[in-house]
Amino acid sequence: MIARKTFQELLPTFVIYLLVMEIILLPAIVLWPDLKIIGDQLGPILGLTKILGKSVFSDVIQAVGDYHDYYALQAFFKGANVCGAAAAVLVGTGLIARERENHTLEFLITRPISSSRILFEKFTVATIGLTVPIFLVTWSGIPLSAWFVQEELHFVEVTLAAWHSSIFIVCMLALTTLCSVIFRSQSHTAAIAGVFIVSQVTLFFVQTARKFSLFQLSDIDVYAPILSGELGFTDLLTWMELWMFGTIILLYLISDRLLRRIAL
Amino acid sequence: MNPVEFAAVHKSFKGKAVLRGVDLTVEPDKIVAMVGPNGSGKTTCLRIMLGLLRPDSGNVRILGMSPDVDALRIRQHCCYLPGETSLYQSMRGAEFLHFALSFYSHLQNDVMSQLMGTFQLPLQKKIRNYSAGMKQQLALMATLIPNVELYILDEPERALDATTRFFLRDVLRDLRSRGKTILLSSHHLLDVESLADELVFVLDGQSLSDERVAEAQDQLRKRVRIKVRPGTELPGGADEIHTDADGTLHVSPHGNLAEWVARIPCDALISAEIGTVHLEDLYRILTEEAKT
Repeated sequence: MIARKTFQELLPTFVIYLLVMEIILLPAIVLWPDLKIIGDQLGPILGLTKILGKSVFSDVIQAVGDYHDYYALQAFFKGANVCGAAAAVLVGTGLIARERENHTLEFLITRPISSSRILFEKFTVATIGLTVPIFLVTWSGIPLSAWFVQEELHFVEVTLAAWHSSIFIVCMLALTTLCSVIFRSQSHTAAIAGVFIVSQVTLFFVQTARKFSLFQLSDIDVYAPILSGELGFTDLLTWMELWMFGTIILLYLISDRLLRRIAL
Repeated sequence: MNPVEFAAVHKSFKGKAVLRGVDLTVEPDKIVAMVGPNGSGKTTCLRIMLGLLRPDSGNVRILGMSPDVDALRIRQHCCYLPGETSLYQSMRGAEFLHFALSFYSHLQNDVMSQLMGTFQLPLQKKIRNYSAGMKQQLALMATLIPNVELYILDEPERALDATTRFFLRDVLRDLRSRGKTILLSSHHLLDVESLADELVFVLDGQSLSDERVAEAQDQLRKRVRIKVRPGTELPGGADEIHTDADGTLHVSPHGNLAEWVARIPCDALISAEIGTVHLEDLYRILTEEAKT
């Protein structure tokens, strides 16, 4: 029942999130032929940026050169990461903090159901609601690319990229859920989680500090090799996903433990 | 086995003692009311019973189980009405009721029909459009319909009109007659005076002993409540304790109470009660004692 109630509450957010990602992706696909021409013209600049050193700017320019890279840039770096992180903060902050703020948490935790079960049902619904749109939007890119720009994307690679992006977003959700358990109000939770994520994004764009940003786990350097078939599931799992899984489990277990001792 | 056993329970928040030794025993098939002013520690006691808070010291057994260890099992056998109305504002009344009752395997369908028939709530409306009284009625339905052994109600009569309060008392008496135990809290003595089988006074984080309550009752038995016509001069040999808003005087004569009253001219006397123990007066004495 808690899962159903959570789903009903969050359904509008999930639908808007899916639509926003699709809206970001569709014009990007349609614009591809024009961008490819510009990319060809920017060849000399691309060479120069490579000489000067790798940067986000060079990534962007380089992405124009190949459709897989370009699709990765649009679908994941721009769509799933940005929209997903924002949606994870929006959804995660409400899971517990909103219940506490509205005084409904006392009602909920005095029913004959454990706090672990409450967290599990809420977190599961949030995870499904945040990850399913990533798969749907990225899969939709396969026929859209074929119809509009006659470019081929492979189902397995696209699915693997969506899988990786989903894990990254669930990491964000786990972090926000922990904040939701710790802080008493939804606005405090959103502020803390929001500041953390914005600071991580900022670090990502600073060349020298980029290695400290969580967003390097989910950037163009990861998605481009996945979509071009250079990086397989096992490589991805052992390279970084086991760590991400570990982080999710750790953050979830801390949230669960704190929720059992929550002060109303 | 008593449904509620609370012995020498202490609880502090950030160094401030909220409970300073609460003793409370609730026997089966009884309605027991915890009475005390706001902030006296009643809600903290109830939250400890449900395992929402851990006591610093003392022994707590609810239905023979410890809330520290068996909080979930306790909640399977008891239903709690929180003090602050905590409903999902975006839900419709019917949705909320269905959600709240879905956690319990056994319901009392006759109680449901009785409450629905009397409250006549617009269950298809969103809860945010309900008045405070309607929200409390909905919360009461969610609490009283499950078939459990123990009902713990924090301020159940809050925001209810007089007719609904009388009806609620009948429902609670009916539950008692079915072998249910009810523990409720209130800071309005008049609300629970006619309902409860037993009263437990909680003042400043302490439950009052029977001896202390008996002492206060003795004090009241030595008092006279009189109402006289304006301008009447009272006979000497008595201490005036206080005057109620309706002009009733509480007086403590030094000698025989009846003889002192007899010295008041008949045409000046409107009413007189000698040595009667009103719970409201008892509560006032105990509260004043606690303050000093």
